[in-house]
Amino acid sequence: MSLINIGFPDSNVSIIRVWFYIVKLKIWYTQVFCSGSLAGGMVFALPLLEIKGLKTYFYTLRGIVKAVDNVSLTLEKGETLGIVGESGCGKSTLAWSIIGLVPPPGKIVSGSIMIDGMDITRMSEGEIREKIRWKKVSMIFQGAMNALNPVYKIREQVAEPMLLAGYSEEKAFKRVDELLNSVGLTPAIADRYPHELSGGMKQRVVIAMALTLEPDIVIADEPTTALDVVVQSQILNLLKELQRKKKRSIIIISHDLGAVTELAEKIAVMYAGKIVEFGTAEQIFNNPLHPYTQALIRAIPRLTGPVTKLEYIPGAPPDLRFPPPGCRFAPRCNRVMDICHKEEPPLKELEKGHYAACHLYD
Amino acid sequence: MRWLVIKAVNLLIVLVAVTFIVAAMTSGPMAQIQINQYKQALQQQVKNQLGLTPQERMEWVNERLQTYIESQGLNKPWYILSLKYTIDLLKFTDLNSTTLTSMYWHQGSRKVLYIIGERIPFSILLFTTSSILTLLFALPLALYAARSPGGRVDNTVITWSVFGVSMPWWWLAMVFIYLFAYKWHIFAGPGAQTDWTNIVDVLRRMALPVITVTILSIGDSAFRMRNILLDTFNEDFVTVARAKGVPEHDVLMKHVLRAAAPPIVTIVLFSLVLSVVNGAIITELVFNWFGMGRLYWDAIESNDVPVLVELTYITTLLYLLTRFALDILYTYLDPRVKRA
Amino acid sequence: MPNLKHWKESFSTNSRIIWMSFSGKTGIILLILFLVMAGYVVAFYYPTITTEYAQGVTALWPYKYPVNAPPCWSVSNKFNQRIDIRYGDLNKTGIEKTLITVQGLFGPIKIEGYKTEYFYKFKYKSNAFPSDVLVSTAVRVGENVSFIKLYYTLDRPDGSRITFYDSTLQTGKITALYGAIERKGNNISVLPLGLTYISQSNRIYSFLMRSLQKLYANTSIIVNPIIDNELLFAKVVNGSKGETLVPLKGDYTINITAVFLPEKGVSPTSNRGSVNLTSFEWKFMPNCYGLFGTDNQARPIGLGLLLGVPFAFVIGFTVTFVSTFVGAIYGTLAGFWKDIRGEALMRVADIVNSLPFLPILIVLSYIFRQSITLMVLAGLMILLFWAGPVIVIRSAALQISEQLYVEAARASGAGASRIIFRHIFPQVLPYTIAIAVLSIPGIIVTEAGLALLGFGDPTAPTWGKMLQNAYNSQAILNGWWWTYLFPGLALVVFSATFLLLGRAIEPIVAPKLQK
Ligand SMILES: Nc1ncnc2c1ncn2[C@@H]1O[C@H](COP(=O)(O)OP(=O)(O)OP(=O)(O)O)[C@@H](O)[C@H]1O
Ligand code: SF4
Ligand SMILES: [Mg+2]
Repeated sequence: MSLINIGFPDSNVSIIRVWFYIVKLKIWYTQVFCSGSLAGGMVFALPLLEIKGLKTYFYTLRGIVKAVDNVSLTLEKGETLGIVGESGCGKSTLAWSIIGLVPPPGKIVSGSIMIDGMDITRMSEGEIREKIRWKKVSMIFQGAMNALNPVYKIREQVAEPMLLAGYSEEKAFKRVDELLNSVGLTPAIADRYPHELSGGMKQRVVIAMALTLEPDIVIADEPTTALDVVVQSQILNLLKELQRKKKRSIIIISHDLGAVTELAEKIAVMYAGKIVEFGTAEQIFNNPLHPYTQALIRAIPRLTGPVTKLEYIPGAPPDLRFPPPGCRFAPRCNRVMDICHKEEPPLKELEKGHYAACHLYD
Repeated sequence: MRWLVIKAVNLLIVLVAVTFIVAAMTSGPMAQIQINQYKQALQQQVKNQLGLTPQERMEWVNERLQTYIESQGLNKPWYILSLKYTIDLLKFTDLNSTTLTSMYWHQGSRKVLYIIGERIPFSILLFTTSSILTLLFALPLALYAARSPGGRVDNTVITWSVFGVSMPWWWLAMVFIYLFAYKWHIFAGPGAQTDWTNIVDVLRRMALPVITVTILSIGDSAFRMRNILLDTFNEDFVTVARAKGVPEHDVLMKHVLRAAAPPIVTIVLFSLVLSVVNGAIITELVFNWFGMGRLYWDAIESNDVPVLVELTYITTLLYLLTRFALDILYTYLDPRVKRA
Repeated sequence: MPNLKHWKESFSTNSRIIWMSFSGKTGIILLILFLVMAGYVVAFYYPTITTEYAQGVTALWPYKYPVNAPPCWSVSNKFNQRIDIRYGDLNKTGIEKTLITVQGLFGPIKIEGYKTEYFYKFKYKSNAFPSDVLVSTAVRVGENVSFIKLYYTLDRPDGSRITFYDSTLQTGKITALYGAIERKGNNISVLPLGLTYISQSNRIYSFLMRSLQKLYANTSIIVNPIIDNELLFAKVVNGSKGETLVPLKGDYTINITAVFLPEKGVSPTSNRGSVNLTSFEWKFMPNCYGLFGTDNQARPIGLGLLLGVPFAFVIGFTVTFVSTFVGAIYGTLAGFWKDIRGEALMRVADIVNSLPFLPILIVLSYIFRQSITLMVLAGLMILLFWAGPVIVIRSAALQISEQLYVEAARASGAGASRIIFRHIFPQVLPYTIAIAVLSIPGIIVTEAGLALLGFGDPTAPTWGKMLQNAYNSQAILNGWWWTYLFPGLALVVFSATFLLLGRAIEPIVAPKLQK
């Protein structure tokens, strides 16, 4: 009988807010994609994280989205890896895969993810939860605004993993204060609700939360987007400190190459679900080999040197359901050749530790 | 406490406006009825005035009637009249029914408040019982459905809600009465002898209406809750909770359910109250239940406008008060709503 | 900016997506089905049949269909015999001489008079009873007949006789022994009436009662006070459940005999001096009808279901589309004006939304009850429902109006109406449609509820009115489940159609607002 109540709330001013809750509509940025393939592994000691031939696909109603397609990576202890690429090229999906939380309808199709010698693609959900999540790998999620549960106080949320790991409440709460201190917040905010904090404060809380169990790997998925420039640099400094003092391995994901080069020792450039270039930060920045990386660097605004016109990459990234044959960057590449449309370029080591997937270097 | 005062003032404004609408709709007939009632009383009185010719009697009545009309302002334009009746309604001024009488409370009384008052408990009994039952069944169903969208439970909830919304409650009531009361003799039907002062009797009569209303409202409530829960499941903080290594059961109970509680309270409970108010009227009629809904029918049948008006007012009042209570509950559930 | 090509493209992909979901597919198929039905009704039945059906013209419908007949699939024991005895079928003896016994001054005396006899013999073969027997019998007695006595009997196979009439008649006019007299100008016709529920004032009541009471004298069958046609063709058997009635099969003879005496000098064969049967019919009605049965006014339920479709469309569409349209414009304005005007608009909508609509609707319908038509009802509902979508539309409009290009348009000095109708409204529109479609079920159900309370359009055969008729005729108590089951189901399926459609549309149009 309820006519006015079908699908939307009744009239009340406070409820308008709730409306956003209900018709919470996910925005998918399905515009920019990259391509990639193999990035070299270290030969010697067992790396902390080793990804081999990972394929993570989304089985949507409108087709299979190959968000991560045959990606291989290694990460050593204490090393910082940056992953860059346009929006929608599968960076977050890669991160979710590492922590075993690919959202449905996504699935890890093939490949392996070894963390400390454990292959998480073969572990059960319960095992991953007990051994990996937050203990080995923690994550700072993209969009920290929504990473905190609005109905719990900060203290409860930051302390939660510790309580689950068997800390006493007293000890856990004390550590919350320490952690908040270490990310530059006053412990007093522990008793506030998330909505009472600013975006930057929330982001710091999220970082503090990621450090609770001192994991080996911290994945920071675009930790600075949606923050103003000052706060951005504060957060980046915080991460730098973290890396220097605590010797954590950090994977920092961003579409901003400039921000990443400051922090990361190694950089992987992704395009349309593949890694197209991999190397140290200097190699990538000073000697970019792949045309896509070159374009990305040209697009960074420079403070020093001659003022050049800012460039942008023409065209749009491919639809990941139907990636173009051959090189995925071919439709947008300024140095495209015939072969590019036919054969997919393999990822090759062109300098020591510097890999690129491009037919230019055949 | 300021927020409470603001909300209460808000409620009052809405109440006055709604009452004015009700009064404005019915001011004409109400005035006519008031005049007629007074005229009848005068005609009774005039019989005691001995020694008057019929002509004089008529004048006697008309004179007094005229002063009454003027003193009560019954010859004023409609908006003044409406204002007068609005105030009357808000003050619960005694109205007299034209035909209906109360049955238990001051038995035989013509006072509208008694007539309605004796029915209120029965409506509240019936519909709070079914609302509570609805929630008890709908919440677990919604949880199951939201945990595996597209699964069997989910499809059941979706189908159920389709029927719950597109089916008139009273129609299912008719079907159930035929099946359960007349055909299989499981429950007491609307024709059963019931002593409304006897609690056992009343409970016996209650079974069928409660079952009908509950069955129908579960579908809609569960569907709405499922939608809210599904949206909450997709929130980032739920993924974060999972990443933090929170077991799935705790993710559900501690994070999802708690975070979804405010919208569930507002949307599901609001709509439940609304559908109860609207669905109750005819359902009670079909079940011959001694409540306010049935009284609507009685008032219409006997053209008892005062009862109809006061009844509408009281229904609205109860509805608004329930919404007010839910609104306050909401502010306690959601920390984001400022209570300062 | 949405342009035509964009619209076309999104329409084709969107309709494909709607078609892909189960609910969308079901909804579309049902909608097409209902549209075809509505078109059929409008083309062939509107307005005569629909009005007649709604008003239940009692004299007309029973003649065509049985009364209260259940659907045939639910009846295992069918009355499968066709017995329809017309005037022309009767055997007629002609006018013969006979001796009449008259009560004289000193005891009975015999006078020589005339007799005319009509009879018909038929075989009752069925194992079931007919739902009713429609009977019309009228006799004309000439003006110059001085004595008349009429016997109207039914001889049963077991030798017993049931008497319908055994008395004199008025001379010089047509008397309907049974049936309803209908005058159209000079023409007098007698329409058949059922032999069930014969009223006490009827001519044959006392005769029939007496002979039936005699027939069932030694049994537990109670004849009083309702005469059921079953009793005419039944015998009593002693079964496990006590005494029950089963059909008495065999030859029955209907006999109408008039014994009369014309005045002196008037020929017994002349019109003025004789007695003539002017109309006669015995029609056995089947004890079931079609797929859906018939109601207490002999209206086929199936026809009613069909006739109700266009009216459901009319009420549902008028109310939802007008109120959602009004609500959309209102909500857009409220979102566009970010000052006191918007605030005031929201307040008003808030108040309208706070009304518990059914009680208010009942009061309104009560006030307008003398002049209720479908359109009045629709108007009243619009009065209450327009505010429903305002809040959602407003928040959508708020979002859109904060977007860059709207701000740009505002900055470049575009007028309010231009911004609303060019920028905001086209974006809100798809969502508005989803809301409208989703609110149709509520409207249909509300209309039915009002109809049940007696606030229905007297000329519109809506499903709600069928339910009201069932409810008022105590169909639940009488076990006539088909009279309320099917209209209710039709209502449910119709509303569900729009609910399914709306739910298929909603997820497609909703995200549009966010982009
Ligand atoms: N839940 C999902 N269902 C279907 N497709 C998805 C889902 N999540 C991501 N995708 C698709 O997978 C692809 C990669 O998405 P992902 O979020 O990994 O991109 P990203 O590189 O992190 O982009 P951004 O920089 O915007 O965060 C996109 O094309 C997106 O459309
Ligand atoms: S040159 Fe060819 S292979 Fe290299 S990036 Fe361009 S298109 Fe791809
Ligand atoms: Mg991402």
